[in-house]
Amino acid sequence: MIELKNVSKAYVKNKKVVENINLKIEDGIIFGFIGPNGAGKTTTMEMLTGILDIDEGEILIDGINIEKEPIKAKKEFGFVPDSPDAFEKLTGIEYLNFIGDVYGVDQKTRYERISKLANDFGIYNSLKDRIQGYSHGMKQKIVIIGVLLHNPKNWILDEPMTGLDPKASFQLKELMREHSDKGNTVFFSTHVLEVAEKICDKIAVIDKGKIKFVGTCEELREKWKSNSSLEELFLKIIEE
Amino acid sequence: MKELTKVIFKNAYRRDNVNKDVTAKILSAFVFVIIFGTISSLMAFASYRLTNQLIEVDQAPAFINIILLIMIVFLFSRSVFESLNNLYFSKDLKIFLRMPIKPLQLVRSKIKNMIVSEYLMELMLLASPIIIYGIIMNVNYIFYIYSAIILLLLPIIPIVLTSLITATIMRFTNVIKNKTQVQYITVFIIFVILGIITSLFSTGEGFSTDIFTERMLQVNGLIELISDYFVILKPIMNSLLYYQELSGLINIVIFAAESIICYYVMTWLISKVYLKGAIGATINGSIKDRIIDVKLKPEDFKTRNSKIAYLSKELKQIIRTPIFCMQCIIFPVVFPVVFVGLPVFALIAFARSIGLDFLADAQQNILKPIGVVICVCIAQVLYIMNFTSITAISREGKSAKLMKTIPIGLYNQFRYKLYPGLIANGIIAIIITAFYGLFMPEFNFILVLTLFVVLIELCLLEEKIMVLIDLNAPKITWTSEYTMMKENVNVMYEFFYAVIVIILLALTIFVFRNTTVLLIFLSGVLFVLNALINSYVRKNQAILYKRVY
Repeated sequence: MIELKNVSKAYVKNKKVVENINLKIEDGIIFGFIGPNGAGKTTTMEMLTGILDIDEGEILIDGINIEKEPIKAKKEFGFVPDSPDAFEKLTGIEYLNFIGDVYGVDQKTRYERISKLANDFGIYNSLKDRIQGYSHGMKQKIVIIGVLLHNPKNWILDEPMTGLDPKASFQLKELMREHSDKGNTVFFSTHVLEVAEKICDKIAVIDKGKIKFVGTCEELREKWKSNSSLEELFLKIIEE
Repeated sequence: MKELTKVIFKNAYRRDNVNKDVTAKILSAFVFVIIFGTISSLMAFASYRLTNQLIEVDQAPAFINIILLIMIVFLFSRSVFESLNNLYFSKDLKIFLRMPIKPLQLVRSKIKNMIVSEYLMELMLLASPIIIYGIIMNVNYIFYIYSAIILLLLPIIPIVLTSLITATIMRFTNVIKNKTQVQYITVFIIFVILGIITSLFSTGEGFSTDIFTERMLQVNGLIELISDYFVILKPIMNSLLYYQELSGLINIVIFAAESIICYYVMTWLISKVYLKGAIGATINGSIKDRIIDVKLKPEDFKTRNSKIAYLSKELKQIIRTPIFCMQCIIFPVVFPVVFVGLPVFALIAFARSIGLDFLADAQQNILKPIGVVICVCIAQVLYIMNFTSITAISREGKSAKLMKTIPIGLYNQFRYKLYPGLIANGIIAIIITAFYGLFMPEFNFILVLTLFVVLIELCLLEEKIMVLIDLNAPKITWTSEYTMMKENVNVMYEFFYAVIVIILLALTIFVFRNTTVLLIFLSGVLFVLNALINSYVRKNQAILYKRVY
């Protein structure tokens, strides 16, 4: 479970990019975080994962405060950043082994999981190549495999579908569903509202740093008394 | 083309300070001015001493040529990396190549940027020596006008010539498959070609001690000796030597014409061979060309503890990136060992074998506090040649974001970041200690061991302070590894730090009369400073890492 309590962040004094956010992402659901560019999605996710410090409020991951017990909290989640340009000089397998070493994944588990996931995502034959030679989608896949490798309870994914081919995108959605069905948490941001509508159990809409709506898609339609698509409702919310 | 040049410039040189407040920006500017001023002042001081010494042997004008020669050699060496990285391995290429921009426009914009980037270096290293020389020699304003023209035009020939060689090599190389190897090999080939060109332009007399002595005895003999070995230097030299005469004007015009013609002709030639190599360098690499039947075995998944895994990742990133490897391993470690260490060892061994006693004085002094302080100062100077720690965070680039999410404490990451620099500079410490031991009239194990401890402690302190400096203002969003190294003004803090350390070490000579006591004192002070930094980083790790994304 992930909890954000009264979280605020300002890069420049008195100019909050995220303002007083309260979210509770329960176990066993896929939670979509949607909003226009510059709304504060990535800032929120980066505070959630310890990349950015929190100006006000607190963030708990499975009850562990990310600021007070960062190491403990970081073991509880896996994060896919918005840009997968990481460790370009390492080969795919070296990167995954590094992640395995950092998270203490044993040799047998690594062998099984990496082989299966790399095959599923179609990058098995590229594992011994350097990441700098990968396409954007392949980089995205290797980072996703890195996250799935240590099987964290909470998945935090920032625009995970960007650059993925349709097959990989479908597989990732399946994996997200499987993971949440096992009672785990998936928190992901997306621009693709169709994806959010199809797979999310709950969504939060953020605009100009403030949460405009939290609930299911049905609750959103009820609130607006409309049978419109999520895309149309989303536009109404941010124009409000 | 003007707009394109501007865009390339802004993209490369704007600092990552969008989130800094005004006070922080002013403070950064202030520190920059202080460091710039310190380096310029040091150059001015050295120039003052050298000019006066040359006046004593009636060779004063040779100063200008020595300083210009050093600058040209420096510009040629830098332009090898500049041309390769700016023209071929810069990340903005992917954007520019898909735009309707002619190769000639792109090449000229990139080369203009390379030329402009050398001006700061020229201002720092060349401006103050020329001014000091001008004041001592009481020259008139024409000398300064010619000097300004020379400063403006000097980087052109080294940059376009090196870029042309680079472009030709890249045109006929399969960049796509082995980018790293191509970078290493290209750098090597360019150095060889530049060596050949330089020797072709020399007089062909060859260098001998007889010629050297004979020339030195002549008035301005040193100038001629230098100019014989560097053809570009001749018109510059003559324009400054005879600035009051018509030949001075003719020579400055010749130099300006040479530079401008070289710029237009060579950039045109580069543009003719540029595109294929540039496209090759931007392609990610096709999987079809690679191993198509990978079979991973359980041995490929060996586990290591997180500390070893982290260190291994750091070393792989350094070794596999040519510019990192050059600046962090080859220049600071291999060059001193090969070009300084081994010849000195050979000289000492040779002198001893033929019973020469010219080291006797040095041997007596080496046991005194001044001998130890000189050794420590040499180590400090060699330590700052190593950019491993000053770029420890910046090197990560976008990976820095991911490193903040892994469950390894930031304090531990700080410690692990010290190891590569510690390994490289540790080798320097071993070499200096070995020299010290070898120089001693009678081997004193305690003294040698204490010196080694001091050198290692000093190295550790240096690495910690450098990582802290990089943490304070990391350059994470770079367009290429080379631009990160080159534009990282943090490197200047390293020089500033070294100056302070050397001044403090020099002061100890006046306080201590006993070498062992001095070494124990230094060891104690360094131990306390190291412990204080550890404690500071442990307590403030979250704040320190705030600037990293």
